[in-house]
Amino acid sequence: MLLQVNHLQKIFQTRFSKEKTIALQDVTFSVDDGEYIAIMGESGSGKTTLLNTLATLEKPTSGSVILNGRDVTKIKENKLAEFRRTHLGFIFQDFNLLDTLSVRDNIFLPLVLGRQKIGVMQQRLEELAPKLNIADLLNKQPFELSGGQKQRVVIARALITGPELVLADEPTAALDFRNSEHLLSLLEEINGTGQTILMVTHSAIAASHAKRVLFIKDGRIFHQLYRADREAAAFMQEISMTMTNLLGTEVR
Amino acid sequence: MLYLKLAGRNIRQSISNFLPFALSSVVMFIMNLMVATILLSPSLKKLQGWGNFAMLLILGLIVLTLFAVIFMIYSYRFLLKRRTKEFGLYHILGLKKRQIARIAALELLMMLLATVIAGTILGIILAKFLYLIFIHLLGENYFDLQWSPIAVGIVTATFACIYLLLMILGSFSIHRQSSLELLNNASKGEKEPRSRGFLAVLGIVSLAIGYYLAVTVASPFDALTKFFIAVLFVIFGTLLFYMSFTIWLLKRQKKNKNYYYQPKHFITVSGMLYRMKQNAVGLANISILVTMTFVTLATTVGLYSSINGFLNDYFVRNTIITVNTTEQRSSAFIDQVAKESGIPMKHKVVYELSNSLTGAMKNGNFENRQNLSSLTTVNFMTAETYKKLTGNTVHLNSNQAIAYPAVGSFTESSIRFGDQTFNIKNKINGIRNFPSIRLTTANWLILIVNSRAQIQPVLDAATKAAGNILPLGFETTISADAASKDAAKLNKALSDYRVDGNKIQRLDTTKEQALRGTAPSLLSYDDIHRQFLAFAGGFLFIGLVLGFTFILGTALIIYYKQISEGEQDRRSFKILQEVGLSGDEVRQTIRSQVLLVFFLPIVVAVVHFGFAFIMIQKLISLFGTTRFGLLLLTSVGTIAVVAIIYYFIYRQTSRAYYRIVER
Ligand SMILES: Nc1ncnc2c1ncn2[C@@H]1O[C@H](COP(=O)(O)OP(=O)(O)OP(=O)(O)O)[C@@H](O)[C@H]1O
Ligand SMILES: [Mg+2]
Repeated sequence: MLLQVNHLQKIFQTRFSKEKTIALQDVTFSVDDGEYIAIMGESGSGKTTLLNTLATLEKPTSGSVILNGRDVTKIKENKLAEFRRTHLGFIFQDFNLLDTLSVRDNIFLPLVLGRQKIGVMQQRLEELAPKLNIADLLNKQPFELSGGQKQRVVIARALITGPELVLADEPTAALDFRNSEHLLSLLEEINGTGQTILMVTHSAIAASHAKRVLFIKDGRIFHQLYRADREAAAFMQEISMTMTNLLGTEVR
Repeated sequence: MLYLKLAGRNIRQSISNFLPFALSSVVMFIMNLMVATILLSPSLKKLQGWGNFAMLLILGLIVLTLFAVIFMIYSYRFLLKRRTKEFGLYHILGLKKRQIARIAALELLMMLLATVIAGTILGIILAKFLYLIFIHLLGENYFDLQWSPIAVGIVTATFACIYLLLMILGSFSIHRQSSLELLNNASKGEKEPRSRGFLAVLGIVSLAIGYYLAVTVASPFDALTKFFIAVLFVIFGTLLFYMSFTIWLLKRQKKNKNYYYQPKHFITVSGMLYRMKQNAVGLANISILVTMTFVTLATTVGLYSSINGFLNDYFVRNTIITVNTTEQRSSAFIDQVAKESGIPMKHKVVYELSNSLTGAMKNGNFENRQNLSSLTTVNFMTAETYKKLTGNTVHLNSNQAIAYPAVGSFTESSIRFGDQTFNIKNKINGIRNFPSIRLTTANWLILIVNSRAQIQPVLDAATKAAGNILPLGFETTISADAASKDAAKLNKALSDYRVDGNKIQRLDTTKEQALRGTAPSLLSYDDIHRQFLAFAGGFLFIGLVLGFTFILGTALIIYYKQISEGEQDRRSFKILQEVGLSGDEVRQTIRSQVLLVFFLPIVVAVVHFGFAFIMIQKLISLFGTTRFGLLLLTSVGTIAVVAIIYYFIYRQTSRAYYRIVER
């Protein structure tokens, strides 16, 4: 087992008001090596909070997150950055590329921060770039790219460190339909090479590309569906129906 | 009415945007008002030599006004840029651009009103305080400063004009942009600047020319004329330096992969490079402002602190009388007048010199013609006088002379006056009981010759060149210590006499008559000291006011820079943290970036100043020989003080930056 999430709870309390927001109530699930999991839920259900907690960007109020036998919630503050850099890869909704760096340097960023040798960096990029179809873009600046191109660059940056787990937060939210489709099949391919992916989304289409879908509501895992050998389109039907029935919301 | 409400609400709501603008506006108003109030105060007229101060103050006021114009435009453009989004929203919501421009103008009008009210009250209070400093620097003691409605009126009118200009600028910039641009202005990507080798070379060459001009000034007048040319070259060079040279340098660092791909360099170099295009002008502005502060303060402080040195060099005794005739006659005459007036004169030193020959000196050739860049005054002294002063006997042939270049340098082996040539036997560095400076001209050369007869032809030739008005001959200087009151009394008594060659005559006050000749002159240390102090004090005052304003300007530019960069960097640092840079590392990176931007302008300004120093030294020597050590000391002191203030400003403004980045 790669990842084990136990009774995760996250309560937000702003400093000046007594009011508490329970973002995660009691979340428990586990992820096996090579899985592709989508976590679905409506807006405000705590998806981003869950992902941020897994990503060690946020400390849970209670509960544990165990990655390869190590409790990431117990990692010291000054070691967190290094942990993120070496074990996790991130794909964000709004790309999060640095304007100041060229596309190539954006992809190198985590390796540079890890003081990797240039030769190694270049070699890894050479392997990765054709797969993601970004070989021609490497010398450009981020603002020169389209949304889909940017997201592929972000994926390259997430994969170049060879992370154990790739975390994606609404990766298709800022993309149009065609680019979304393209990106989703790309993620599927990447998963096909054995890369474990955990994606958070409120789109049934996006979720239908995963192997397993977890539904989250009111800070709890509610239900899960396995894709098995179904086509994405068929799987999507079931996801939509589940969302409508279980959560009482209409989703596309 | 609706617009008025909107404008008022805008200011209240985005007070943090308006505050720096309001602050610079009020401060500029106060600075202008203070100087104008002092300028127009009736008590200024009571000061000795008030005409000079009035000139200085007017000059200062002009510089301040220009500065205010530039600065207000800078501040307002910053304000506008931060509000483009807000204006864009208005536009989308259905306000016409004309209406938005009207709101912006109304906002400005309110700011103007606030500036005038706050500025007038504070300005009048602070002017009193500043006036105390001013009077103290001049060594005077009148303390009454009336506030002047005219001054308020003038400064208000000036600021009204500035604000009108801002309104025009504002409405232009609002009209020019399309609504989408207005909305999206903030988030536009920019291509990494290309390095332009040509411009880099041009910048370096321009700096080199400016520096070369500074290093090669020969005389004070030379410095005066070359100064502005050098300044222009240096400003231009500085701008190009930042715009191209730094980019070229950063590009080179980036090309060096082993250097570039290290965590610290990676983020700093790429960040600096990305920002250099916008940064260049800001950094150049800061460098130039800091240099201006250095130069202004160092010159005026240097001049002020040199006064005592000048005067000590000149006043061998506290009273110096010059009589335009031979030693024998003069000495007897002064003794007699002093005795008649009952004035005791102690520690008398008497010597005789030829009348001054003032002309152009070039390669050891003296010409009776006025040329500002090589202006030199020559006086001859006989070997006999020299012996009397120093006790040293010198043996000179009829065509030999000993040179004492009191002010300026003299390196020739001979000196020619028309067809008469003197070979320089040797050079000396000083004569006992003899002044080492002259109060009026640039270069001063004393030539010790064997006898009077030898130089009479030279003097005659000069007389002829001057148009035969007064025949040149010999004059006598009598230095003695006398009480200040006695000196004044003696001066009055002497003013009744006229000396013409060998005749000394007394004016008959009952008769209207014009006697030929000149009155004996008497200079007393106290008088001259007061005059010098008044002049240098006025200079120092203006220097302090301008220096303060420049520092303030620097502070504001840095503040604006920090704020706008903080906003740009916030996102970057968030991303970096997510990708795997720890909070500490982020802070470290910020600090090294911030520090670089802090040190660069100071380093550039210090280098600039190093070259300017050579000119400043020459300029100050207009008033007498400069003491290199003292000037260096005051300059270093000034730089240190300004640097400390600068650092303080920087620390305060970087807090604002950190607050934004770490939000
Ligand atoms: N930093 C925070 N401080 C206080 N409350 C927060 C914070 N972050 C999230 N919350 C609250 O926690 C709850 C879950 O938020 P979260 O961002 O995880 O939702 P989400 O599922 O990602 O929604 P969406 O689909 O809209 O992105 C929300 O009620 C939100 O208001
Ligand atoms: Mg979310």
